[in-house]
Amino acid sequence: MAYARGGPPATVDEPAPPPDRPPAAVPAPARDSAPGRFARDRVLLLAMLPGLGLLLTFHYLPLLGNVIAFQDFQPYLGLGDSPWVGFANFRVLVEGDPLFLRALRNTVVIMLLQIGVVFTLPIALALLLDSLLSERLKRIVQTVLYLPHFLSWVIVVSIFNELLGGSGPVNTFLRRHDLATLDVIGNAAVFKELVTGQVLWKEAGWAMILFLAALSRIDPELYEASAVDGAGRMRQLWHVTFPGLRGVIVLLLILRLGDALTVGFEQIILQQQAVGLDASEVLDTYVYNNGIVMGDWGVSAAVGLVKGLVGVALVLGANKLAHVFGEAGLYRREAR
Amino acid sequence: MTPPPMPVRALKGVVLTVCCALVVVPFAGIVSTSLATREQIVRSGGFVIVPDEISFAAYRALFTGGVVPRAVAVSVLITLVGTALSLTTTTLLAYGLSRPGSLAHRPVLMLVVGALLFTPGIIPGYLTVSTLGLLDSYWSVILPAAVSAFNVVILRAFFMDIPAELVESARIDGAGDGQILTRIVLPLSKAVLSVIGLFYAVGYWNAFFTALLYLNDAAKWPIQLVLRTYVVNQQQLGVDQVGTAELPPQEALQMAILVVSIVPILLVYPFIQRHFTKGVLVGAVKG
Amino acid sequence: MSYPHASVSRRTLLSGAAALAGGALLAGCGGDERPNDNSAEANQAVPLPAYVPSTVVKPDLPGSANGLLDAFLAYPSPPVKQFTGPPMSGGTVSAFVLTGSPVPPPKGSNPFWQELDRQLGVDLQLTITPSAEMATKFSTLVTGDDLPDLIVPALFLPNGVPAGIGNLPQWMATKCTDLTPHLAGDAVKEYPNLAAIPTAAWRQCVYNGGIYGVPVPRGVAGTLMFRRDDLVETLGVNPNPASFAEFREFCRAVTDAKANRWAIVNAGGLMFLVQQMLGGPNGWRWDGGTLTHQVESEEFKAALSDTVAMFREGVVHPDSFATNAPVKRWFNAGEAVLIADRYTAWPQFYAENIAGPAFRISGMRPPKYDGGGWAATWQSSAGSINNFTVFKKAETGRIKDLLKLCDYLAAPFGTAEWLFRRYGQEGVHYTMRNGGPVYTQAGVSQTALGIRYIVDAPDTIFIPGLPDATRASYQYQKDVIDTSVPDPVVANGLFSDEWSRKQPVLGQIVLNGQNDIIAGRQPLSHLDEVIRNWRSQGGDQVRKEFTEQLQKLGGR
Repeated sequence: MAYARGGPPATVDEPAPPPDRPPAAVPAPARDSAPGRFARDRVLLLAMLPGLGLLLTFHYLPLLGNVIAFQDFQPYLGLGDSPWVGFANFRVLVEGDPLFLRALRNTVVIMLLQIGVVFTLPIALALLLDSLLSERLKRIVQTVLYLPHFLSWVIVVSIFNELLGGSGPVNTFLRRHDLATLDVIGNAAVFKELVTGQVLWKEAGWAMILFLAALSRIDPELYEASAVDGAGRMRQLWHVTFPGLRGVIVLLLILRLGDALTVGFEQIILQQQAVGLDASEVLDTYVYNNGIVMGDWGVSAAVGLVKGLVGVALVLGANKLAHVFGEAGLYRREAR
Repeated sequence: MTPPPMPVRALKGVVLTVCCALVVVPFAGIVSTSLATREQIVRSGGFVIVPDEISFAAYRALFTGGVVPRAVAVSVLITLVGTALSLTTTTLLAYGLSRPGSLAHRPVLMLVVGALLFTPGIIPGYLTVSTLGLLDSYWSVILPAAVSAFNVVILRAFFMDIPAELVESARIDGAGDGQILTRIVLPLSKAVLSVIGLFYAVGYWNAFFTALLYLNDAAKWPIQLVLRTYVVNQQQLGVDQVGTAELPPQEALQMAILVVSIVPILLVYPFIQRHFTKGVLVGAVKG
Repeated sequence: MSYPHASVSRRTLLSGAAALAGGALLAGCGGDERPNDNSAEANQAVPLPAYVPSTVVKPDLPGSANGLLDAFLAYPSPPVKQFTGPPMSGGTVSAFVLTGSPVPPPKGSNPFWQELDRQLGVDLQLTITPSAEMATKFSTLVTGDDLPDLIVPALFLPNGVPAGIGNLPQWMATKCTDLTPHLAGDAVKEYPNLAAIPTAAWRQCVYNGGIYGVPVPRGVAGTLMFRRDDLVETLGVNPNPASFAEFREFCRAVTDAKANRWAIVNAGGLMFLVQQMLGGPNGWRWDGGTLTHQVESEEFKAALSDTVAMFREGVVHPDSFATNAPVKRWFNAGEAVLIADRYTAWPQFYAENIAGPAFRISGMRPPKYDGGGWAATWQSSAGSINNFTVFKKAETGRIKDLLKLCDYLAAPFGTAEWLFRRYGQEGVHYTMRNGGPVYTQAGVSQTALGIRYIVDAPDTIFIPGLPDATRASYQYQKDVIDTSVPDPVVANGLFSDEWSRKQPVLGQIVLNGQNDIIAGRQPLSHLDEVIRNWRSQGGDQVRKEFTEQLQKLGGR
């Protein structure tokens, strides 16, 4: 038996809705015609205006500048006079330039590592924290764990280098005692793992917050009811907690996929020199090293566009998949 | 509900302790380095975990001269105004999008999701801000970041998750969309609103890049941008400063300003935290 | 997992930096279609300012025409007052400058800045940019039409790589003033301090067939191998190896990993020294007919092979490959005994060391590879300047005024004006210690305005308060300057559009390949592939352009 998710806090005394019901749907409208819908929905439309206005002005308007993906963009000629080259800038994707493919390969590997580890561990952490008895302990641990989020990558990389580097305290200690030293920094073979570890250290505590918020919405009465039914801890986890979290997890996963091919720029470029390009070149650094640095502006805009399109495909695909599993996902077709 | 068995509790304790130690040790190092002497810093390779002698020289250096306190004030201003603006517009937009089937629902949602997937370049953004006459104004740091598509989507999902019966019964009682928002949706969303508010606040607090681009007057710089001039310039630092043996070492300064930039958020967080653990407080005891 | 907050990330920065610089320079150049002629012929023909060395102050240790800098053991006391009154009389001057220091207090709370205004006779408005963000900020600056009077163009990307400045000349032609009529030949004598700037520095300001900027000069002595004499002496090792074999012995002898001490901070330093030992080319080699780049030379390959061997012996600091590795601190801490750095870092090492009065450094000269004397050192690849400053288009009277201002800002070392400009007011911003100024806390933060990057007097050798160190630095330069070798491309003032655009990426190809080989990720034979890449990605084209120009010059 599954227990429904997202119950109201204890201020409203309502029975839990029947299980497996799709997300909130409001009763059918009285009128279907457009002017009718306008009158019905005008408050909603009004509400959307300020946010939409800001998005259009500061996000979509500058987005038009990405048209240079189709130009051989020369700064002193500018948008107006730079020659149009159609899809020539996209050739790097079609021709299978080995350096580009290497960057793509590295990007995908790191992305999988990140989704596998960096996405899931905060969930486990949130569950662990949530199950603590003491409120106070919970808050303290939460605060401690999210601290690294506030550090910039320059500092984080520097800290890792200082502590784990060849002349850092860990290795100095190992060397003095004739033990094998830790070869983690500057080691191309474990670079991807190092990068994932750094992201985990920096963001796990922060990522946990959203999951904690979701967990806090699960009606405690559901836990009580399940306990009455004789469910132990593991069954509660499976039948109460996870259903409560599923929506958030799926949503965040879809959003993460939208950003899929972005695996971190500043973090990686700060460490590229230490491990060489073979291990560390990803799409964003490839674009930087071959675009910006060389003045090949059109190419970098082109790759940016492609990344966006891939994101669109992934988001749409993941959303459909979510529907198959009965989740709302990002959006679905529904009557009002 | 019986408390979990000892070995499970012990394991949990170990895991949490290790996780916390992994964070606490480097942060203790940050604080210690900000209080350490030049000699110890150089001897221990730049990062001090336990200072032999405490010196407040770095903090003194930061707070005389007015640059750091002013930058903190600027950051606080930007964060407060920005978060208020962002929460309002984002909540409204998310609410407007939370009733599927409403007029223009699909197109607007697509616009929001599109904003997530495609990012504009720097110079078109600069030209936009500059044409609007916002250069050198604090609004140039606030407005472009005011609406985060990511936050809109999250908030919308939480709004849609509110049980239909509540909304239905309110509608039957004659409530319009506006009243549903104020009487039902908002009160039930305190947890997620706190979280989104926190996300925005931290975003504004950490903003340095937009400030770099749009604020020419260094008097208007927020704390993160000032911090970068201490930290990222570390290789060039010193060539300009011949004969500075008396002054606090670079690393201590960098760490001190780092501490200064984190402390305000640390002070605010506990208040936010309350809101998204409250739901758990009420109700059954869990192991 | 990251939570984007609609704040612009470095990713978007970089993906747009292209569009940025591009569109920027476009918007800046709107409309004016006059083609600029940045050819070598046009540039060679430009008459440079006359050189009239300053006689205002006499150095303790004199420099030479070969590039040896003047040296001072103590700041002249009392300092010579060169100007009787402020150079300007009211009005505002705006400047776009960079800084290597934390941002200074704004004018309202900055007594130094206020006093500077008084001394200059003008309301000085500054847009100060951290040097790491210069490339970005410069690009946005040139987007708009609202340019300040004086602009320091961005010459480097955030990670230290030279920015592709291929479009800079076009922008300068459209938006900046051609200073030739004001400064060429004897015209410069109207500004005596500008006339005291060496001709080699002026040559690097020539674009589009004219003088487009005023330079911030530096000595050509460039980079040297600093050595911890105090540590070497304690270890009882011969500080002056006379051949490569002895040098290798030196490195082995000083290395003790358990004591956290290695010979040298990075492998790049080894490459630097060994190539000089072998007589390898400084950047390029021109033999009258063919132009060879350093990476293609036999000496490069041999040096690489030696460096790989030495790296395997463990004489290089283990964290050396990290970006922004704190090499200066390692040297100061004694974690390494050798570091290659510019001569300008000499005072900084003294200022930041913790070894106390025993601390002693000097330069290690490269011996000839097989012994039998000293090898020739390389002059600075940046030539004779740190950067230059351009003037936005303005009418003649205004330009003359700005040049007068620059004349004041270029007052030579030893004058009261120089001392004030750099150190502020005595007692408030600095104190005199043993003939050398030492900043107070107020001095450090208030004086970091970046005006030293607008224009400056010729560089001098001066380590405040430490005349012995000054002598050591002077002696080193004296020893090496006469045999030092310049980069022929820089020395001849050659300009190639392809080189300006491609220099960063070509440099990266070499550096990445070199690091891969030294770190053991690739075998030595990988060098052939690196050279091939270098050639095909622009190296050959650059060679062609430079060769043409050199042939026309007749190998001057």
